[in-house]
Amino acid sequence: MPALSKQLTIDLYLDNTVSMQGFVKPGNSTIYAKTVQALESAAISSWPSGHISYAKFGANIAKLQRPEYLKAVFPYFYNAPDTNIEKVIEATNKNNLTVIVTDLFQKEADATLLIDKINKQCIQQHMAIGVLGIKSEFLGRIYDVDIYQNSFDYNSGLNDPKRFRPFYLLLLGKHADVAYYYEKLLQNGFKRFPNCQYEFIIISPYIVNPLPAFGKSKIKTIKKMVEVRSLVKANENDKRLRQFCLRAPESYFQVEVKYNQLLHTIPFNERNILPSIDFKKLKPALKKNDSIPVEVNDFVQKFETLNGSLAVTMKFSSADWPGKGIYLLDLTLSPSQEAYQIPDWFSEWDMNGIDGTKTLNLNKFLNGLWETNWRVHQPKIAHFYCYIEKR
Amino acid sequence: MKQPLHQRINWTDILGILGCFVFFSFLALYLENYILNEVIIVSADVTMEDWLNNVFHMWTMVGIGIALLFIIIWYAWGNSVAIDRVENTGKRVGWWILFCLLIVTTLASVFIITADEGAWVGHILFGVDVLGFFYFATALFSPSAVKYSPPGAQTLRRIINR
Repeated sequence: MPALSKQLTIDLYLDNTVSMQGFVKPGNSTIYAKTVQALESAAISSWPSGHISYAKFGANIAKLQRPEYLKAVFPYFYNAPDTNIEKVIEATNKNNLTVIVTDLFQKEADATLLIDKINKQCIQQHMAIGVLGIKSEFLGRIYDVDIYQNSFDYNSGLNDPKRFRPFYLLLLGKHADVAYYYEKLLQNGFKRFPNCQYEFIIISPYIVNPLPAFGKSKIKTIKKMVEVRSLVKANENDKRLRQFCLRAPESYFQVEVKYNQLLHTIPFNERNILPSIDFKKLKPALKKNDSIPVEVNDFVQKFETLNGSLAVTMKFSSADWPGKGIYLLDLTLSPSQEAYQIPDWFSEWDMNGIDGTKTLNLNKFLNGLWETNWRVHQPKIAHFYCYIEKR
Repeated sequence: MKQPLHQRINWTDILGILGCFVFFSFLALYLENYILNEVIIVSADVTMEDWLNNVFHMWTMVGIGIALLFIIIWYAWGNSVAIDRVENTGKRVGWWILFCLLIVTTLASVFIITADEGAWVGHILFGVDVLGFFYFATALFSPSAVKYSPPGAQTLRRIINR
């Protein structure tokens, strides 16, 4: 996973459509208004020598100077009739951290379009997407809540957080930058706001860090095979690699894989791990050096959870392998789609009927984003290489 | 009157003992790896190379070192006794005592040379190296007074014309 940036440009985008007006109408001390101020201070404390650019967006993006940005705590700032968040996504620079403040107001078709844009612009560029939902006081109109484009007035009041309306920060950038900026936001601001409810998730190509090194993983048992170091002259610093000699046609080992799941990523069930295998003969190479067609189940016998880590049993039935020689086995372990435990707030904050405390199509958007990310990256929890000698 | 020590030492014997040492060390450190690599299965998280270096080679060289010490003792003792015209049972007993002590050392290897499978091959090779070194070094390169005390020494010397 790429390391935290030492210096960074932070692009702050504020959604200035009228649907956002309600967050500042109750006054400039709402959780929303305080968050707008905290965004800047968190950026400065995260990267003191970094650069912050300010912009607002409705149908188009307009650059702002800092004094104009500070006016975002007043209702008149929110005067754009229409929103086009896709343009902001298009403007995203993968080397920067992009922070988008929005109510994620979108129709069903908008959500699909937005997911598609984020996929092309961010997910496929190995960027992480942080979604921070924060509930704030609200007094105003909520638009287009159904297919008839009905709208309704909503007053959350100031004292009952359960009635507050959510707005969202989309954080787009390197995983480490997104996570770091979120922690700074917590410290610098909204964690201390009274009555503040918030939820945060990072959708990213990475779910564990560092990726467990096979060379450092403990082999619990080994039968009819031995570990060696001298089969292939390999880079000794490559800790993903281990080398074995088979002593019998049926042999196996069990390795314990310990990993640290990254904070704020979607948790997964270790019982639904999807292994994938690439197996080829290296020496003497087959005619075209093609992969030998194998089934994952030919090698991966079982997964067990052992004291908070994963025990993988690899078996080797070498009788059918094409002759003596050195083989390369490349094993990747990824949680299956079913393994992920989608946070409850995706659906709990999703608008189902006229309810000002919820967001239209939120579940569709977040689930779609997560699914797209899973399809593109299939985030890994381990990637091992074995050189295996059949004698 | 006894001759001074340097005159009593047969330098051919010393070179022969050193030759045996080099031969059995080479056997233990290189040639036997080919056998061990085929039969030994080491335990989890130990590589074959580490097992060879840290277990077999190390302990076998300790065993060969002990055998060398016993050979020196045997040689020094053999130099200090008189040459008899007839075979002396006491000298043969002395050799057997040292040899039996080395057998005990070899038996101890069962506890120090361990592996998941095939450790017995390691024990046999340990025995071959340690006992073989002592036997051949003493049978072929003992001082005159005890040169026929090791069993089979006479035959062996005849075979190699010594």
